[in-house]
Amino acid sequence: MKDELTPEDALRRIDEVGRRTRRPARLAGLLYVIVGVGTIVYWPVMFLGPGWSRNTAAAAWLVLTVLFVGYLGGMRVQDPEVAWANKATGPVTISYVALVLSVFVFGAFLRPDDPGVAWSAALIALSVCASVPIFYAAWRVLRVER
Amino acid sequence: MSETHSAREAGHPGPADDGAGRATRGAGSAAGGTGSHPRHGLDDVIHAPVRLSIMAALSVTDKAEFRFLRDTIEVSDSLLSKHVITLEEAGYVSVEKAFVGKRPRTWLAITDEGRQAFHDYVSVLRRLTEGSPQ
Repeated sequence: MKDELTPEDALRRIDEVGRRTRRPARLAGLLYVIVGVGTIVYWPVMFLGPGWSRNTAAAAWLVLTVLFVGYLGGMRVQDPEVAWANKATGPVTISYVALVLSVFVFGAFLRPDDPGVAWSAALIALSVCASVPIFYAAWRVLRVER
Repeated sequence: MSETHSAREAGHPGPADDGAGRATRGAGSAAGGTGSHPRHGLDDVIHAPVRLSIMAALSVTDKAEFRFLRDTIEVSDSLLSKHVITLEEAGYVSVEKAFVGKRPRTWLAITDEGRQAFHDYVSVLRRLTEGSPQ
């Protein structure tokens, strides 16, 4: 490491170290995006798809959950935005859980024997709504100049 | 004076390091600045490559684990420890030791005082690079 620091060197170093330090948070932000997309896909597949696709979706969701929780739990740096998004009593967690529960209730208890286009569209719309808190979290984490 | 000169070359006393990694707030520091040029506002505790990197890393986090910081700024354990002690003594960094299972973990965080000092330091750097001494 250079012993002498010009002001330009110092500013460059601050930017570079800041970027490197935020790398794990950036990856967490990308995981949020994947979970958001997964949320949109998962519920329609579970309630509308054939048996094999349900099993696949369930397995993929399990793997994604393990990866997500494992990665966040193992982070050796605590990013303020990631910490905010992960807070158990925070708006992202609470709204995500509430919306996912509403999709589950809609799909499990209000599903007609032969779901038509309207019901399917409503299910997809609800799934998209459920993903909004996760996409918002991803945006919060990734928007910071990295 | 060229703005691309290092602070030391520019007449700034630079980080007064006692050789053990302990910086003192010298005549050019925020605490003891005597001139009107922005360089006199550069904090000697921060204005050293390793300590600057530590402060830059901690300023964008709530806290960071010692080994993460070591890997991120690419220094040895001993060098990092030495400079962390300096920053801790200056009140800029707090150190928290905890166990995860049986494994000890050391977490570092920037203090409010450290955040303010770093913010001031960056402001001085910007004034220096913009060439508009105030």
